[in-house]
Amino acid sequence: MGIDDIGRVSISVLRETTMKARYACHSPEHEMARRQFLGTTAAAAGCVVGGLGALTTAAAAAELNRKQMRVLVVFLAGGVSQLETWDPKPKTDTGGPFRAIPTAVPGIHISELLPLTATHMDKLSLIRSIDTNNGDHGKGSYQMLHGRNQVPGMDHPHLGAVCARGLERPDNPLPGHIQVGGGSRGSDAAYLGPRYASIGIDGKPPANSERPTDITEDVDVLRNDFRRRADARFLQQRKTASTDVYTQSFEQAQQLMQRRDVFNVELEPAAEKARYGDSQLGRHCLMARRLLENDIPFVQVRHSNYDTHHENFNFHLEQLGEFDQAFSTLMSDLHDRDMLKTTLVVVMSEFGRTPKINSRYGRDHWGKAWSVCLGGAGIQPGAVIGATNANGTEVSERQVNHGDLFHTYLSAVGMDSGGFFDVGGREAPIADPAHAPISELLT
Amino acid sequence: MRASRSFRSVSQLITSAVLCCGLSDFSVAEEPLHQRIDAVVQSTAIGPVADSVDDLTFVRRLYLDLTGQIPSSAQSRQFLANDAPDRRTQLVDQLLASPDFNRHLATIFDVMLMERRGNAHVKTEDFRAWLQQSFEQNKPFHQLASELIAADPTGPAPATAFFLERGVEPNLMTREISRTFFGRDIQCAQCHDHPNVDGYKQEEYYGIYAFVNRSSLFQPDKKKPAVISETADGHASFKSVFTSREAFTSPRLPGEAEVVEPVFAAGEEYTVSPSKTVAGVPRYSRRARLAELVATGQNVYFRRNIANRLWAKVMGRGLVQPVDMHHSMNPPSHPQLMTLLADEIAAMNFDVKAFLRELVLTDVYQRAHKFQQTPTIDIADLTAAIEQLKQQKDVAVAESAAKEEIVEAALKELDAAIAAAEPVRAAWEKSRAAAVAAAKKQADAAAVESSKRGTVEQKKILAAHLTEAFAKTQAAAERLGQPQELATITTALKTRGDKTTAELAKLQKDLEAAARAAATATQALETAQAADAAEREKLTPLTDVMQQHRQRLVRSFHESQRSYERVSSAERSVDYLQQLIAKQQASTSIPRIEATVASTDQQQQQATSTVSTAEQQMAAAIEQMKIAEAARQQADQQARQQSEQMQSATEAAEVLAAALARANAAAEILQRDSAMDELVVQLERSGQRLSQKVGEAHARLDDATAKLQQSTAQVEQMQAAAAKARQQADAASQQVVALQKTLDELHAQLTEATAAKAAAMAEVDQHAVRQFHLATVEPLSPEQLAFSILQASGQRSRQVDAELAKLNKEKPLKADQQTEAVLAERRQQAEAAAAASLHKTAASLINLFAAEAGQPQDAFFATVDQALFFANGSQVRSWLAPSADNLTARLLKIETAESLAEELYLSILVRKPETDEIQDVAQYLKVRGDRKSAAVQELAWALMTSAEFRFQY
Repeated sequence: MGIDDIGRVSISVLRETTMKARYACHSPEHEMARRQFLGTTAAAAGCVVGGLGALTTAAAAAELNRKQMRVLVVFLAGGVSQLETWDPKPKTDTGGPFRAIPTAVPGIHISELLPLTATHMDKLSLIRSIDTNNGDHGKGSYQMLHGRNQVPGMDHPHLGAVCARGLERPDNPLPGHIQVGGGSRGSDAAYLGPRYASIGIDGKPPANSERPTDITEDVDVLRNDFRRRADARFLQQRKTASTDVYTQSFEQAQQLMQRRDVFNVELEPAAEKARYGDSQLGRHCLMARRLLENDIPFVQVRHSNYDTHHENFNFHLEQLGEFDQAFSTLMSDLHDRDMLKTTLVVVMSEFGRTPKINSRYGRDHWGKAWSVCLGGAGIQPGAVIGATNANGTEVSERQVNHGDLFHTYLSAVGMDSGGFFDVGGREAPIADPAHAPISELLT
Repeated sequence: MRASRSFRSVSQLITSAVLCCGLSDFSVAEEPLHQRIDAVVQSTAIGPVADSVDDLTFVRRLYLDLTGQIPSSAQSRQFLANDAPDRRTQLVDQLLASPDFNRHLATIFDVMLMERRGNAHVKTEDFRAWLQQSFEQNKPFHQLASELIAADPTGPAPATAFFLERGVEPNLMTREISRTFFGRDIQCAQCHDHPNVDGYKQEEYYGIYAFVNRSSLFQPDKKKPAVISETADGHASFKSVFTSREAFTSPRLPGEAEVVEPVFAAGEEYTVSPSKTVAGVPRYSRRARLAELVATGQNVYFRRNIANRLWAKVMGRGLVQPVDMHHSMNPPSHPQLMTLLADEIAAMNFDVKAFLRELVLTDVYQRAHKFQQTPTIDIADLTAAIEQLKQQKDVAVAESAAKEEIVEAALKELDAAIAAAEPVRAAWEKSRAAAVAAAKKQADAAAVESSKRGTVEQKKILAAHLTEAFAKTQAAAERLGQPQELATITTALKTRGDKTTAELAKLQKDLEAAARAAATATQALETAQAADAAEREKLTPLTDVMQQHRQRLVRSFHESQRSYERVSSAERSVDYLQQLIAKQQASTSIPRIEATVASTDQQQQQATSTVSTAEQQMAAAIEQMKIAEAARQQADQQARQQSEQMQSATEAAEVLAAALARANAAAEILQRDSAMDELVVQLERSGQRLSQKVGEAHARLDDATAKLQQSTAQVEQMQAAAAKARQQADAASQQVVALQKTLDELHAQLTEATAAKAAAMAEVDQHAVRQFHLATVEPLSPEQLAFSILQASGQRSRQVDAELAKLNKEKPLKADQQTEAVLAERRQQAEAAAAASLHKTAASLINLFAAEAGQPQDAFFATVDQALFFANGSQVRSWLAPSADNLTARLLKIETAESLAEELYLSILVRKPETDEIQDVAQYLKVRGDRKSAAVQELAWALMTSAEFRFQY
C-alpha cells in the first residue's frame, strides 16, 4: 500500500463519518458513489465485508414480516391522567380518591377505573417513565405523533404516514393511514407526500368510490380496457417506476370500489355494536377493528376530552368508563382473531396530568412524568418499563421521551427505525437519529 | 451511427472532462448558446443518443413547457400546416411572446419559490400577479430574488411573501434561502457537526443565518398587515452538538468571505427604533445587505442554482438533481455545462425568457424519449476508458485529500483565532451593551430635559399673560378710580402671578437639573462610546485574522469540493460504462445461447425419434414373439399328442408281441395246427402292421419334436430382439432426459441473459436520461395536468368565448372599431379573465395532485383517491359532456371512425392515431352501437386517464 492509498483511505473514512454524522439528506446517486468510493478504498485497507447473503435473507424475512404488521393508536385527547389510569398512587397526597386494582399480571396494578382493561394486562405493557418536558397541547400531540419536537422550518411526518410508507402493501388498494372520525385527507405526511397522508373515515366509504349511476359495470370495464390498451402501447416505448405507479393506481381504485363496504360500520350486527358500548368511541373502535381486519397498516382512534382542569375525577370516571368498555372489547377481539401478534396497540395522549390536585379538584398539564400503555406485535407482554417516585412527581427510573417511544413503535412492527426514507432523491431519517428504541421492551 | 461516433471520442472526452475548466472550446462568443450547449453535450457523450423528436411530440412538449398546457387540436394542425424549415424556432418565439408564457412562468415560479405556501399574509393570486407582471417586464431573476429577500415594506406588498409566509422564522429562512437561491439544502447543518471538514457546513449555515436572524415577523395588531421588524444587534454563534465546537460568524454567502459591515455608534443604530408598537428599521440592515449581494448576481452558487433550476424545468431533470443538492458528492451530469450555463445566465443578465429560449432550441431539448435502434458497443474501447477514468479519479482523490489537509489546518487556525478573539469579543459585547444602555439613558435624559423645557416655556407664557393682565387691570382701575370690584380682581391676578412666577422659578431650577443630567448622560454616552470604540479597535485585528483563516478555509474547502466532484463524476461514468459492458455482454451471450438451444433441441428431437423407432421395433418383436409362442405351444401340444399315440401304439405292439410269442409257443406245441398257424400269421401281420404304426408314430413324434424345437428357438429369437429394442429405447430415453436437462439449463441461462440485458437496457436508459441523450418521462405538474385537461376537453375555449361575449356585451365594439389590433387585444383580455377563472375551476384538482404545502414539490405520487376522482368524480365527467363546441360535441358530429379517431387523438394526446388505434376506436364505437354520445365521452375519458396524457415525454 503506497502513500497514495493511505491518503485515499483516510479521506474515505473521513467522508464516511461525515456523511453519517450529518448529512441526512444525501441522494441515492451520491450515496452510490460513496459506496463505490468506499468499496475501492476498503479493499485497499484490507477490510472484508462478509455475510451479505445472510443479510439479504434476514432482510427478506424482515420484509415479509413487516408486510403483515399493523398499528393501532388510541389517542386520549386533552391529556389523560396517568394517576387515574396506568400509574396510580393511592393513599398519597397526589393519589386522588380512586383505588389501584390487581390485573391479569401479578404485581401490576392499575386504576380501578379500568377494570376490564385490567384483565388484558397480560397482553399489554406499560411505560411509566415518560418525560416529554412539555405542557402545550399542540406541541405535545406533535411530539407524540411525530416522534420529535416541533421545530420551525422542519416538518416531519405523522406516525401514521411513516407506518403507511414503511408497512406499505403494494397489493392492498385501501389507504394505508386512516384517522377514524373526520372525513377528508389530512396534511400530515410532510415530505413523504400525500400518498401517505391520513384519510378521515367517518363510517362512510371514501369519496368517489361509487360508480356514477349512468355508467354500468360493463361500460366501466369497456372504457378501462380501452385505457389499458392505450397504456400498453405507450409503455411499450418507455416504462418508468412513475408510469407503473400511475397505471396501478387505477387498478387499485377498481379494487377499492369493490371493497368499499369495509368502511361501512353499519354492516356490523347490532350485538357487535352493543359489545363495544353505545358511545362514539365504541363505534370508532369497532370501525378500527374492521379496518385492521382488512389489513390497513395504520389506524388511529381518538377519544376526547381528558383536559380536566376542573373536576378531574368525575370526568375521568365518566370518560374512562367509555374507554374501558370499547378498548377492552377491541383487545378481546384482536386477541380472539389472533391479530395481536401482528398488531401494535398504543394508548397515548399528548401529555399526562399534574400530580398536584388544584383547588377545583382538577389536574393541569404535565409532561414531566407520565405513562403510555402498549402491546401486541413485537412488544413484550406484561412488562413495566421505568417508574415514578412514590407520589408520581418525577421519573425515578429509565427516563424516556417521545423520540424513544417513536423508535420503539416502529421497531415493534419490524421497521428499521434508524434507517432512511428516500424522498425524491433526498434521504430522510425515519425517526429522530438522536434517539433509539427501548430495546428491553421488544421481543 | 451516432453512438459509435460517440464511442470513438470516449478517450478524448475523458481528457477534456478531467481538465474540467477547459471551457475555452465552448465559450466562443459568436455561436448562440444553444449550439454551444449541444457542442458540450455531444463532445462528452458516452453511450447511445436518441434521435430528434418528431414534430407533434415537439409541439406537445413545447406547449407544456412554455404555456403550461397541451396545444389545442387547431394549434397542432396549424403547426403541421407550416412547412417552413425553421417552423420549430418560429413556434418557440410565438409561444415566448404569448401571455400564456408569462402566466405559466408566474405559476412555476410561485410553486418553486413558495412551495404552495400562501394566503396567511399575502394572497397567492396577488403574488402570482406580481410575478406575472415581473415576467411581463422581463425582470432579471437576480433582481426578482433581491426584491424577495429585501421584502421591503415600502416596496410592492407581494414581494414580502417569501419571508412573511414563512413566518420570518430565521432557521426556516436560512434553509429556504439556501435551498431556493443557492441550491444547497443545508438544513442538517443547523445542529449536527463533525470535527473536520463538516465544521464548515455549520459555518455555511450560520453564515446565511446571520443575514436573517435579526429579522422577525411583526404584527402587534392582527387586524393590520404583518411587516418585518429588524434589530441592529444579535450575532450568529453556534455550537456543534457532536464536538461542542463553538464559533461565531459574520454574514457570509456560500463559498465567499464574511461581509464587512458598517458599525454605528450606540444610540445611532436605528432609523426607526423597535418597540412594542413599532417595527424596527436599523440603519444597516443585514437582510437588505443580503438582497444587495444577491442583486449583484456574482455568487457562483446563485448562478448555478437558477441556471440548473431553469434547465430542470424544461429538460425534466437538473444537471444537478435534486435541484437543491449541489455538493461534491452529487456532481452535475456535465460539470463543464454547469459552469457554462452559470456563466452564461449571468452574462445574459439573468434574463429568464432569453435563457429558456436558448434551452428549448438545443438538440438536447429535442431528443426523442425512446431509442429507435440498439447501438453497437465496443467493449475494448469501454474497458480502456474505464481504466483511464479510474486513474483520473485517483488523481482527483489525491488532490481533494491535499486540499482537505489545508482545510483541516485552516480550521484549526480559525478555531484558535476564534478562541483568542472570544474574550475580546465578550469584552466588546459588554462595552457595547454599556454604550447601548448609556445611549438609552442619554436619550431618556434628553427627553426629560426637552419635556421640562416645554413645561417651562408654557409656564413663561402663562406668567407673561398674567403679568400683562395684572398691569392692564391695574391701569384700568387707576383710570376708573379704584373701584372695589376691580381691586379684588387685581389682587387675585397679582396673587396668581406671583404664584406662577414662583412656580416658574422652581421649574427652571428643575430644567437646569435636567439639563445637567442630560449633559452628564451625554458625557457618559461619549465615554461609553469611546470605550465601545476602543474595545472594538482591540477586536478588529483579531476579527481580521479570524476572517482570513475562514476565507482560506472556505476557499480550500470549495476547491476540495471541486476535486471531489470530479471523483464522483468519474465514478458515475465508470458505473455507466460498466453497465454498457454488462449490457453488451448480455447481448452477445444471448445469440450464442440461443444457437446452443437450437442444436440441443435438434439432438433431443433425434434422440426422441430413436426412442420411438426402438420402441416400435420392440413392439413388433413382442408381437412376433407372441405369434411364435402360440406356434410353439401348438407344436408342444402336437408333440405331446404324438408322444401319447406312440406310447399307446408301442404298448399295443408290446402286448401283441407277447401275444405272438404265446401264439408261437402254442403253435409250437400244437404243431401245424393250421388254425393256430393262421392265427399266428394273423398275429404276425397285426404285429407288423402295428410295428409299422409305431414307426409311423415315432416319425410323427420326431417331426413334432422338431417343430417344437424350431418354434422354441423362434420365441427365444424374438425375445432377444425385443430385449435389444428395449435396451435401445432405454438408452435413447436417457439421452432425451439428459438433453432436456441441458435444454432447461440453457433456457435458464437465456432467461437470465435476457433479464440481464433488460436490466442493463433500463440502466442504459436511465443513464442516457441523466446524460440528456434520451428525453425524460416525467409527470405533468398538477397545473399542467389540470390545464391540459381543460384544454383537451374544450373547457378552456368555452371559458374564453364566454369572457369574450361578456366583454362584447359590456363594451360593444362598433363596426369601425373592429380593427385587427383591437380584436386581438380583446381576445387577450378574455384569455386573461378566462385564465383567472380556470385557475379557480382547477383548484381542487390541483390540490389533489400536489404535494403538501411547504414541502418539496418535485416528488411524484399517484394515489387511489386521484384515480377515483377521475373514475367517478363529477368534475371531469361534466367537462366531457357534449356541449357547444367542446371536444365531445365535435366528435359527435364526425361521421367516420377514422376522422373521429384523428380528432380524438390530436386533441388529447397531440398526435395522430396509428392504424391499430383507429381500429380500436372503430371497434369501440361499434360495440356501443347507437350510444355514440356515451361512447365518445368514454373514449375521451380513457385517453385522458392514460399514462401518455399524464406524462411529459
